[in-house]
Amino acid sequence: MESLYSRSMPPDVIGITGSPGTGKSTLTGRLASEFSERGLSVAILAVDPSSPYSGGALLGDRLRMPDLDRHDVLLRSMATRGASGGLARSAADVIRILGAAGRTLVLVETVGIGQVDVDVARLADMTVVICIPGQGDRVQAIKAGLLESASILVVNKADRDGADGVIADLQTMLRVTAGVAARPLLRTVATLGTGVPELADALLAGLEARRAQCETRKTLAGEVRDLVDEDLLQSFWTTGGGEQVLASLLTRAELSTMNPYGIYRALLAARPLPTLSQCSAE
Amino acid sequence: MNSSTPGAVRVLVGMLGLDQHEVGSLAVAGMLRDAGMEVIYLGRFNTPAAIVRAAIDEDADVIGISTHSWEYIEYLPELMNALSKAHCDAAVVLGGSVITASDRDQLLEMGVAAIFGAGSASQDIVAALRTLGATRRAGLARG
Repeated sequence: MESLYSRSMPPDVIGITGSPGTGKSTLTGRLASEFSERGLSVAILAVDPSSPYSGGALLGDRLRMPDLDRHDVLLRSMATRGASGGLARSAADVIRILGAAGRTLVLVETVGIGQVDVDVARLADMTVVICIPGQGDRVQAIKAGLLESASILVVNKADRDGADGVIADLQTMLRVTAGVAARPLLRTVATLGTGVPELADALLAGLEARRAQCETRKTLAGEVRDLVDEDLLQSFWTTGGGEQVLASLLTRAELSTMNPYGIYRALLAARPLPTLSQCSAE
Repeated sequence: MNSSTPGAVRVLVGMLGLDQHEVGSLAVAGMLRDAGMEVIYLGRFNTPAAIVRAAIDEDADVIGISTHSWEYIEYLPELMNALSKAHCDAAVVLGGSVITASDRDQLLEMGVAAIFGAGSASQDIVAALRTLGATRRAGLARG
């Protein structure tokens, strides 16, 4: 894996996120076609959740992107496979491999739920957050992090009733939230392709501006943090035997006196924090 | 790398041509997901070329085609040819209600790995796909 970094340029990465049903896949497919028609070499990485019960996954993003057959767009679906911190790492590797395969722009589509999303968004140079009309009250729009994590906000399904209301709410929130006033707010109808060229323009302009500011250093810092996190957890729980110690502590403790803090202290006493091993990411 | 970790078998599930009858395809997709597989769902109206492309992009271990119309007779040979031309080693499995006994023999001869007719037990399908997935992974590991 490491050798890929010395031999190829990283692709530009655009993250696309939003709640289920907001039209992420359709919009991602449209954007990919648009970029492809403009002569860019595009890949899509579509991340979907694995079932926490069976470990299986239903990866349905191709279904929403029938147009790709007419363009040279590579689409790879990826399941989170539990994502105990490792997903962002694998996604970063996949992005790099796509870059080494000659793709200069990678669109990463994530389900807009939880930590996986935040982790993957950190890998992106630009993040598009999609909202739609009829998705609950205006409080939804101000839940922490949504506006802040977006480089561009998109109201998709903008031909539906209530679109103007959502736009107005988001405009208000952008005005009153610190540091986000300049975020572009665009309308799209992904199923028809309406607004897609404008969104593509805004994204390319954003990537250009970012390059000028050397923002990629921040992304790199995030990737290094991920490596440390993954390595530390692995060496504590698995190679360091933390799981075994925990299991034995749990069998010894009286059920009535069990509390997580006490067990945590006992665990650390038995198994001091490991030093970092040579990172083994292949 | 995520996609090459042993374990989750990656299966494309889709239908060819104008076949409309999607209930079986969806039911099987859900069943395989619940058996711990990663199902890349392609739905209806696929051409053989689109299936091949998806199989390569997605590094699929198995391509599951659901058929409830005669169209498999037309499309399966085309699919098998396209796969071999593209050097794609994913195993092809056919499932559906309308596959006749004589067609079955021809299809198997053509290189289709397994065929499941109406009334097939879900555990048989899951077991067959696990074996096919494991065989392909073992082949990849050997290089």
